[in-house]
Amino acid sequence: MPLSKLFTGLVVLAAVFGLTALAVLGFTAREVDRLGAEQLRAHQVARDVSSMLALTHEYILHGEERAEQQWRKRYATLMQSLDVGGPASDSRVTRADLHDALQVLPELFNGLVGVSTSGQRDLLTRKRSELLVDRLLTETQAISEAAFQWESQATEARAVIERRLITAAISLPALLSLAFTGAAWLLARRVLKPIGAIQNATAIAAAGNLAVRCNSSARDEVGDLARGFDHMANELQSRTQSIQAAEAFLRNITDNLPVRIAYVDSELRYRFVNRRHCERFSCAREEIIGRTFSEFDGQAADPKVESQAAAALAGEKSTLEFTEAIIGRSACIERSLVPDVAADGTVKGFFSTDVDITERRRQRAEVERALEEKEVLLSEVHHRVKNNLQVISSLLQLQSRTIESPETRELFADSQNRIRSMALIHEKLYQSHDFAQVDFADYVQSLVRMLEASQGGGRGSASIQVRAVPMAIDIDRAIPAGLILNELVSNCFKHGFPDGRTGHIDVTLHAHNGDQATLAVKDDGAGVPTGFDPASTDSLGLQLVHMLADQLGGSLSFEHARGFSCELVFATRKLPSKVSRQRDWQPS
Amino acid sequence: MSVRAWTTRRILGLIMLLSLTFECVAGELVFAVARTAMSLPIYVAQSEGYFAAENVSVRITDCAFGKLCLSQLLDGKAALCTAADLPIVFASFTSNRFAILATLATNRSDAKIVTRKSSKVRAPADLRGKKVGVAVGTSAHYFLDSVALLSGLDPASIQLVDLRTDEMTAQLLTNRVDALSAFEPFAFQAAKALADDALVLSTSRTYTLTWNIVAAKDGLTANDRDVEGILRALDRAIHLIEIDPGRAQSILKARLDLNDEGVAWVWPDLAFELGLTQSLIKTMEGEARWALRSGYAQGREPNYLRYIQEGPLNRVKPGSVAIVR
Repeated sequence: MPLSKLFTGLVVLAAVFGLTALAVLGFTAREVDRLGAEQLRAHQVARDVSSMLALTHEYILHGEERAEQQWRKRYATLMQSLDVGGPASDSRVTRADLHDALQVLPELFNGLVGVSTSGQRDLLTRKRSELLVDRLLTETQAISEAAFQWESQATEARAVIERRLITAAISLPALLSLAFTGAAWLLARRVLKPIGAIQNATAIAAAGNLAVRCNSSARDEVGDLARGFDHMANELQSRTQSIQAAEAFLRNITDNLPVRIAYVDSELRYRFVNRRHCERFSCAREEIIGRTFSEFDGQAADPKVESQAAAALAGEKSTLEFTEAIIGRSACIERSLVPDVAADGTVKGFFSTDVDITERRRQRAEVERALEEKEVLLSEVHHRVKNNLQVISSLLQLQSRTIESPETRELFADSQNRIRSMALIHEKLYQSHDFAQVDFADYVQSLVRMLEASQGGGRGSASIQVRAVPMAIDIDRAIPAGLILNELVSNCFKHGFPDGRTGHIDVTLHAHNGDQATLAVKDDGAGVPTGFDPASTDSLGLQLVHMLADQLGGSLSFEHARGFSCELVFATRKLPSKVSRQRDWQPS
Repeated sequence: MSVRAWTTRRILGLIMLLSLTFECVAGELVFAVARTAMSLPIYVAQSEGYFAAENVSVRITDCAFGKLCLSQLLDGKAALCTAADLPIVFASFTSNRFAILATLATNRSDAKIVTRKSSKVRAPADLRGKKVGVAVGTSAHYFLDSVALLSGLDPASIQLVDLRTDEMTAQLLTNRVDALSAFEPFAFQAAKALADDALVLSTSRTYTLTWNIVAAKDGLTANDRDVEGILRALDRAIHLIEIDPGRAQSILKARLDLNDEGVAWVWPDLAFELGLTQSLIKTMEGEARWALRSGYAQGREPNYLRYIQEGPLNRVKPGSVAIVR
C-alpha cells in the first residue's frame, strides 16, 4: 500500500478513534452526572418515605394532629419531588412507579384519620381500622423499599458507569499508546528501516562504491525512492565509467604530448598536471595536485612568472619565454597561460602549457640566416643585371656616336631607353630589398624623369607631370608595364611637340577595384596624323605597347581628338609571391 | 405415653418428615407452578433452557392456583412451588416446614371483582347482601374482605359462596352468584365469558399480591446449590422479560393458552423482580391478623422471619434482600 494512503488511513483512524474516545468519555461523564443526580433524588425520596413511615407509626400509636400534618406535608413534598421533570430513569424502579404507588396512600391515610376521629368503636370500625393500618404500613413499607431499591439501583448504575469511565480512562490511553506503538512500528518498518538502507547505500556510493544497490521490493514511496536510487546509481556508475574512460583517454593524450599542461585555480593551486609536468617537478601527480604554484621550484620568486600568473587571473592571455635547466641542458620554454573564464565573467583559474621551443628557436635562426644570405645574393643579382643593362645601354650609346643617320641614331636611342627602363626596375628592386615587388609609383616617377632628361634639342619642349598612387607590382608585371610607359612617354616627346611646339604631358597611375591599376599618358601636343590607327600602325613602339599589353592581360584605349592620350588598365599581380619577408607591402 | 406409643409416633413422624423432604426423583426437582401469568419467569427459564444451563433438572407440574401448589409442596409432592402470600399465611398457622425463598412478582390488580352489568352492582358498597363467589382461603378472599372494609361495608354482609376456580365463570353466567372475586386468569375468563355484560369494579391498589417461590425446609440445605441455580435461572429469565417482552409474551401465550387479548389484559399489572422485602412480612402479618380476626385461623400470629430463607437469594443476587434478621 502506498505510504500516503497508509498514513492518511492512520490519520483518519486516529481522528475517528480520538473523536470516538472523546464522545465516549463525554457521554460517560454526562451519564455519571445524570446518575449522580438520580442517585441524590432517589436518596431524598427514600429518606422522605422512611420519614413518612415513621410518621404513620406515630399517628397510629398516638393519633396526634401534628403527626397528621407532618405526614401530609411530607407526602406533598414527596409527590412534588417525584413530579419534577428530568430524563427517564434506567432503573427498574422508576419515579413513575413510585408516584403511582404513592397515590394509594392518601386514601388509606384519610380512611385511617376518618376512623380515628369518628369516635366509633364497633367491631366493623375496629376491623376497618386494623385493615387500614395494615394496608397503610404495608404500602408505605413497600414504597420505602422501592425507594431504597431505586436508590440502590441508581447507585449501582452510577458505580457501573463510573467503572466504565475509569476503564475508559485507563484503557483509552493504553489503546492510544498501543496505537502509537503500532504506528511507530509501522513507521520504523515501512519508512525508517528502508530509508536507513538507502542512507547506508548513499554513504557507500558517496565513498566511491557505485556498485551498491538497495534492491527494494516495497510497493510504496520509499520503495520508489530506493528504486530511484538504484537507477541513479546505475546511471552514475555508467557515466562515471564513461568519464573515467574519457579522462584516461584525455590523460593519455595529455601525458603523451610533448608539452607540459596544467590547470591552476584562482588560489594558484594545481588542479591538473600531465605527466610532463610531473617529470619536471620529479613528483607524483597526487603530490602536486592541491599544492600551490609557489611551492614548486621557486616559480613565484620569478617576478615575470608571478606577473604572468596574475595577468592570467585578471583574464589576460599571455605568452612568456624563459630558460630553464632540464637534465643538464639549458632549455628555452614558452609558457602560455589562458584564463578559465566562467559564464559570469569571473576567472576560475587558468590553463598553462609549457612548450620546449629550444629546437624551434634554433631552426628559426638558421632560416633567418639563410634568408639573409639569399637577400644579399638577390640584391647582388639585381645589381649586376642593372649594371649589365647599363653597360649594354652605354655600348649602344658609344656605337650610336658613329652612326651618321639620325633615324638610326634615334633607333639606338630608343633601344637605350628601353634597356634603361628595365635596368631601372632592377635598381628599384635591389634598393627596396623586396625582390618580388616594386613600388610602381616610385618607378614611374624615376622613369619619367629619366626619359625627360634624355630628350635632346631640335624638337619642341613639354613639361611633364606625374601623379602616381603608391602601389606594389610584381616584377614580372612591372617590366612590361614600365616598357609600355617608356614607349608612350617617348612617343609624346618624340611626336607630340614638333617644330619647337611646347606643351604638357600628364602621367597618372591609380589603383581601383582592389588589384586593378590604370596607367594613363596624355599630352596636349600635335596629336596624330589624320588616318592614324594606333592598333594597326607599323610603329615599333606602338607594336611593343600592344604586345606588352597583351602579355599583361590588360586593355588599351587611345584618344587623339586633341593631343594624344593612351590608357592602360591591368592587374597589378598575377600570383602571390612565394618568397617574401613581408606578407603585406608597406609603402616606404 | 408408653414407650411403644412413643416409638410409633417417632416412626410416623419420620415417615411424615421423609414425605416432606424435597421431591427428588433421580435428581429431578419437582416444581409445582400455578397457571398464572405471574409464573412467567419459570416458563421462560424452562423454555430458554436456563435451568439446564445451571445444571439443574426441574420438572414443572401445573396447578390451578397457588394454594393448590402449596398443598402439593406440603404434601411432599413437590420440592418447590409458587404461591401468593395469603395461602402461605394460612399454611403458616398449621406448618413451619416450608420457607419462602424469594418473591418472584408483585401485582396490584391480580384479584378483581367481576360482576354482570345486569346485577346492578356498580361499586363495592353495592355488594351488601349479594352472593359473591370466591375461592375461600385464597388471596381473592382476602381481597374481597379488604375491598368491603375499605368501602365501609361489613364483609359479613356479603354472602360468600366458596367456589372452585374452574366453576366460577359458569356460576356467574348462570346467575348463581352476583359477582366473583377472582384472581387471574379466572377473572379474565369470567369477563370474557360475560362479554359485553361484564363489569370489573374499580378496586385497584386495594391489595398488592406477592407471588413467591416456596420450598420445603427439609432438604433445603442439601439442595442449596440446585436452589441457587434455580434462582439464577429465574433472575436471568426476568432479565429476558425486561429486554424482550415480545418473546416472553409468546412463551406466556403458548404456556397458558392465552391469546393476545388475554396477555394484554394481564400484562400491564405484572411487575417481575426477584427479591425479599420487609413489606412481604408486613403483608403476611396483616393477612395473619385478618385471618385471626375473621376466624379463618386460630392460634398466635406467626413470626414470619422463620418462614423466610434469604440465604440462597443473598448469594445469587446480593442486595435484593431487604429483610433485617
